Amino acid sequence: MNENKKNVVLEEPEAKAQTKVEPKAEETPKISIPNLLTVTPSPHLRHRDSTRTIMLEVIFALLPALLWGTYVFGLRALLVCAICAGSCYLAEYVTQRAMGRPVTINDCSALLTGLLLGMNLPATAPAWLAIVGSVFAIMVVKQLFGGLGHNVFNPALAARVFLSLAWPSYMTNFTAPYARLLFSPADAVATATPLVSLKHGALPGASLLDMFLGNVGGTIGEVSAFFLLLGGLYLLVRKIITWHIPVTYIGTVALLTFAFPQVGGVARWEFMLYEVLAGGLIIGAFFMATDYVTSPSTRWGRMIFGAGAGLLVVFIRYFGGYPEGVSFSILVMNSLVWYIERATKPRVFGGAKKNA
Amino acid sequence: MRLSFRGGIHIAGHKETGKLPIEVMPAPGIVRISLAQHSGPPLKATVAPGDKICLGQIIGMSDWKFACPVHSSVSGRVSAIEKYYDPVKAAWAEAVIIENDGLDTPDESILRAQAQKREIERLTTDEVISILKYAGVVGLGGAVFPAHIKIQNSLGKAKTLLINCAECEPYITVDHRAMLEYPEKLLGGVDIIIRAMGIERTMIAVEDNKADAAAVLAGMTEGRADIEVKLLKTKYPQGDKGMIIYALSKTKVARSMRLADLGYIIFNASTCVAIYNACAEGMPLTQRVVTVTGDCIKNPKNVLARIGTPVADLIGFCGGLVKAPEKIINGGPMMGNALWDTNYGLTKGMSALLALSGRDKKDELPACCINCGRCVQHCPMRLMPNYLARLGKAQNYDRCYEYNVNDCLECGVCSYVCPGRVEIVQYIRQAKNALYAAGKR
Repeated sequence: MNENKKNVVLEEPEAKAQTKVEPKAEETPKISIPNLLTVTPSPHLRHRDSTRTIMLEVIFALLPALLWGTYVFGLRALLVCAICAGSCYLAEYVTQRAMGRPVTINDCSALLTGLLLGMNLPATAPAWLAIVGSVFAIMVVKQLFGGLGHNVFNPALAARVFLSLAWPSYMTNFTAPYARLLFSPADAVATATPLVSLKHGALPGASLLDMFLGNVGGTIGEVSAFFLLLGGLYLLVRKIITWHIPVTYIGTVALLTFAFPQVGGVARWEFMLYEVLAGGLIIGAFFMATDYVTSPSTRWGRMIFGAGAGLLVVFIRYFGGYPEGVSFSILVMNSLVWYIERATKPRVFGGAKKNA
Repeated sequence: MRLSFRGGIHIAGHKETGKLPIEVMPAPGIVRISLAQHSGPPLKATVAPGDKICLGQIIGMSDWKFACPVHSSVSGRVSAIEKYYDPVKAAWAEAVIIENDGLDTPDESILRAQAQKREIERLTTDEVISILKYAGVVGLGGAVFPAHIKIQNSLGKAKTLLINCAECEPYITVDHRAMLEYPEKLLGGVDIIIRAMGIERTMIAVEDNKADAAAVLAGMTEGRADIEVKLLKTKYPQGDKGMIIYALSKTKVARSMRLADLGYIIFNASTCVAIYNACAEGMPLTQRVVTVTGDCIKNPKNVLARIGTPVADLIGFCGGLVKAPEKIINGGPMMGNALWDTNYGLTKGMSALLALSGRDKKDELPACCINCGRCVQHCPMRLMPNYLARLGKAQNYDRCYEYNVNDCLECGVCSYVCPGRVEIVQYIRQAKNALYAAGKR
C-alpha cells in the first residue's frame, strides 16, 4: 500500500508538467461534483416568461398606437410619453430607495405605467402635468399601497383621473389630427372629440373609417382602434392576456349601445360602432382593464369584471356628467376585484376534500 | 380530440434519452442502501456492521403493517449503518453501506424460488401478494407505494386496470425504454395483475410523444379484447391519477376518493416489469432503470443500476460532468427533490437523476405576485394558487384550508408558470404541514 502511494506521489508532478507543456485537445478537464449544491423546493424548471418580459411585451404591443399618435399629433406626442415614462421610472427608484424597499425598476412595470399614462394625455399636455401625473401614479397609487402586485387601482388610470379632476382644461385641450405639434403646444387648433359630439346627441363629423384608423382628436394613444387592436391581438396570441376582459368589456358596450341608441335617424349598428370606437374604450379594454394586478385572476371573474366595466361606461356616457366613462368604469371595477375573485372561486376538480 | 384534461401545461420534454437503449451498469464497489425507500416510516436494519451478506438478502424490515422489505443489491460485507437525513422523506433514516465482493452470491431464498420453477399462470392471489411483499416491489414511478398493499386493498373492488405510461415529467425516459425493450415482461406483469385481481378491462395509457412505444404494445396486444392502448396528449401533469382517469373516462376523481372504490387500480409501466421479474424470476427488487441526464451530464443515459449505487458513481458511468451543476435532483424536475450532497444511493423511487446548471440570476428580482392568474388558469385541480401562496405567506392557514389547500397535488405547475417567480408550491406545502399538525387534513 505504502509503495503504491509513493508511486502516485512521484508520478503526479510529472503528469502535471506534461499537461502544461502539451495540453491534449481530446481530453476534457474533469469536473468534480461541487461541494455546495443548491437545494430549493421543486419545481426546478421555470417558464421563460417573467414579470419583466411580460411588461416589455406589453410595451412592445403599445408601440404601433404610440407611433400612430406621434404621426397624427406630431413629435410632441412622443415627447409627452417619454417624459411620463422617464419620470415614472425615476419616481419608482426614488420612492423605493426612500421607503427602504428593494429597488425593482428592472421589472419595467414603471416604464409601462408611464407609457400608458402618456398615451392617456392629450399631445398638448405641458411637461409639468406629465411629471405630476407620473409621480402621483407611482408614489401614491402604486408604492404607498405596497408596490407592484399590491396596488388596488391601475396607477396610470388613477393618475389620469387625478389630472382630469385637478386640471380639466389641460386634460381636455385636444388638437385636431395632423396638427403636427413639434415641441410647443402654442399653435394647437382645438377640436372636439367624437365623444363630445355623441354626448350632445349628434354623430361626430368623422367617418367610421376615420374613427377606426385614428384620424380624429383625442389623447395620444386612444385614437387609432386599428393599431390598438393590432397590439391587443399580439398580446392575445402571445397569451399575455386572455380574451375574457376585452371581449366582455367591448361586447357589453356594443350590446347596450345597440339596444338603446341615443342618436335618432341613424342605423343602430352605426351608432354602436361610433360608441365603441370613440374615446378610450379599445385601449382601456386591451391595455388598462387587463392589468394583471388590478383585475381578477379567475375566468368568470374576468368576465364579470369586463361586463361590469362595460355597463358602467354606458351609464356614465349616457347619464353622467362626463363624456368619457372608461377610466372611471375600470377604477370602480378595480375596487371590486377582491370580491369578484372570492365569488368566482373555481370549483375544485372532482369536488373539494370533505372535512375529516 | 386527443385525450387530456383541462389545465396543466406543455413543458419542453428534454427526452433525448428516449432513443438510447438501457445500459447495464456494473455493480459499484460500495452500495449505500437507504432503509426509507417506500411510503411510510423508515425500516429498521436487520443486519449489523461486519455481517457477510448475499445478493437479495433482506437487510431492512419493520413490523409496521404496510412495511415492505429492502434487500441487498450485491453480496459482500456490511461496513456500516449510517444515520442520514433523507431528502425525500424529510426525516432521519438509516442507510446500510455494503462493500461489494463482486461475486453476487445469491441468497438462499432466491435459489429456493428459482428451484420451484413457478408457473406464473397458476399463481393464486395470495401467492402473488406474498411474492410481491417479500420481493420488496413498490411503485417505481416515484410514489413508492408497496405493490402488494395496493393489490390487497383493491381486491374485489377494482375491475379496471390502468397502466400509467404517461411519464409526463420532462427528462425521464424510464417507462419509455421499458415499453420498448421489455414489452413482454411489462405485459407479463399486466397479466399477473389481471389474473390475481380478476380485472375485466385494462387500459395502457401512453402520452403521444411515445407513440413508437404505444405502437409496440398495441401490436403485441392485438386480439386481446380486454387490453386497450390509449394515446394521451403530451401535457404535464398527465400522469397524475386524477388527470389520467379523467383523460380516459371523463370521470372527475376527488382527491379524497379512493381509486379502488371507483373500480380502478393504477400501476406504472416499470412497476409492471418489476412485478413480472419478482413472480417469474424470483428476483427481489435490487435494481432499477434510472435516467441520468441534465445539461451537465456528458453522456446522458438510461442506466440499469443496483439499488444503492452512489450518485457519484451513476454520474461517473455517464461520462461525468461537462460543467459544474447548480443542482442535483432526485427524480424529475417538476416534483423531484434537490440533493444537498452526493452521499446518497439509488433508491427504488429514483426514476431520474438530473444534474442541472443554474439559471442566469443576473436579472432576478425579488419574488412578487402580480396576480396574473396564470397559476389559476393552469392548475389541474382548479385551485387558486395565487391566494394559497399569499395566505400561506401570511401564515393564515385556516384560510388556506378554506381555499382547499389540501386538494393540491404539488405538481408544481403554478410555480413553473409564475412570472413573478413565487415559490407557490413551497407555501402550499408549509400550509399543508401546519394543517396536518393541527389535525386538519
